[in-house]
Amino acid sequence: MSSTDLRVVLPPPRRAWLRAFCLATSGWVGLAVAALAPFGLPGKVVSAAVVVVAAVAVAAVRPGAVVMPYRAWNKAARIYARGGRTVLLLLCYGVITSVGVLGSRLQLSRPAPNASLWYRQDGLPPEAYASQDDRPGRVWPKSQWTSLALWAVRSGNAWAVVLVPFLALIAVFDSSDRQEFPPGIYTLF
Amino acid sequence: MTLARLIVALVAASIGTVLALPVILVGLPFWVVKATTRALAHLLEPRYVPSKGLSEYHPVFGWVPKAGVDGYHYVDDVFRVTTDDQGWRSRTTTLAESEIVVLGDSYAWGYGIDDRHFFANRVPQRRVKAVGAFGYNMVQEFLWLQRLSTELRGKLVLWFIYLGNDLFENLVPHRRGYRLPFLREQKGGDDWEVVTSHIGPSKWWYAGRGYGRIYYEQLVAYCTPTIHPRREYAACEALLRWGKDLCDTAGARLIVVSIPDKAQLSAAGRELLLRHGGIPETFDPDLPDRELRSICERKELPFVAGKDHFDVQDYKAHDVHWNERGHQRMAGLIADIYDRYATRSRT
Repeated sequence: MSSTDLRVVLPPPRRAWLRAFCLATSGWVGLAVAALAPFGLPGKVVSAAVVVVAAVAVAAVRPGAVVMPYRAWNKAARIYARGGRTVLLLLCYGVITSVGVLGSRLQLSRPAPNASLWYRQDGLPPEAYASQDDRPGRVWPKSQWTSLALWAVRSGNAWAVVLVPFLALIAVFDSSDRQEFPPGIYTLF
Repeated sequence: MTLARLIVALVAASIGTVLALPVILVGLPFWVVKATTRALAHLLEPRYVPSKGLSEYHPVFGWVPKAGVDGYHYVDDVFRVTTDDQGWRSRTTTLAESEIVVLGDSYAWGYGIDDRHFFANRVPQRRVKAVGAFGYNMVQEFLWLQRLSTELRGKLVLWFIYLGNDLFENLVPHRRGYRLPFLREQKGGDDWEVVTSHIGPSKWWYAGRGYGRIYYEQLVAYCTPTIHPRREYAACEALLRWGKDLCDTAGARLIVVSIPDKAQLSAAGRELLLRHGGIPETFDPDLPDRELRSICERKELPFVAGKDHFDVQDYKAHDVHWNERGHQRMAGLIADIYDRYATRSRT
């Protein structure tokens, strides 16, 4: 799992994630119980503590029991993510269509005389070993959004910068159920 | 024009932001729970080493498992790995102490399984040493058999053949760009020879089509009858012949055990393989085992078809290797094989 993973969807259940999910949800539920319980302060603390201790016990003894709630939560998160993604895509199309009303222009990068737009295909970089198959891993610049913004300004499409927040949110709404593998799996030396 | 576009885009984006706010607010609980879970999981989950921390380059074998590993690795979940001072999985039994030696690839290495569930540690009343490394083909395994042959006297040697990739990888010079020993037909075509002259640490210059994309196609090919015998089986026969000769000379007993791919074990797997070029009328998932059995019969080698003992529930959901149940089943199978063959060879 990437360290910059901001998706709302949880990864496929692993022991540590099941325990963490149990603790996290119980912590928030405990807080909600403390806030809403019609007791005095000691009663609120005790009721919140009961929720948290019960969850800690489950997480420690039988993390497998959390699989069903974990999957149910993830299913809800996935439904939300799909819906959110659709809405944001529609908003992006709205922005693009609005700009398109002003007309469009086509810029072609024509080669200079006796020049070519062909470029040499070099060998695979060492990072290719870390790939799942025989192609280099997906290489993004440090900040893909910065790169997009720079491209927009340099290419005379400054308006496209306003799409960046929407595109970033669409990435967060990625709900694909792919199995995430750490980089370097089956990298031998 | 550029300014006008920018102004229009800003107005449209402002409206869009207002419309997006409810969507973001509805999702806050999901974000909060995900972020908290992620932070806690980061604290609870042991740090795991990438697979490059588990093996190292070797000028003959291509790569060998690293010795003295004591850490964690990750496939579908984090698992504990220890290796002995030779790099073999599990420290509970040495090669010298063992009664049974298992030769193989990642299945023999126990890829994806904790030490405590590893089959070699769970065979009742028998000391088992697994000599395996992930990514190995049978040629690499044969080279290890050759190197260790003086230590095999009186032992039962089980040679795992994983039907998913072992057969075709005996004939190719690299695996995902990592150079590995392979078999080449000698001039005249009478016999085979092991090639190691190309082994080096650099990546093989031509990696061909993506490995993952030929994996199932190859398995489909083995499950489809052909008019001409496949070269892969001829190469496999040569390796098994050499292995038997080595074991006979060393005073060990060699037994061949096929390891099915989980796609061979279910209707869904069959559908998957048919999508990779299989023809329903001729597709036969038992064909690889029949071919291996006939090779073993010719060489007077006992053969155990793993397909008769495993089902799809013995495999991980998101990986090709065995889960805890699969390792337990293999432990039971090894105990049965030992009772059947080791006892017989003593009497």
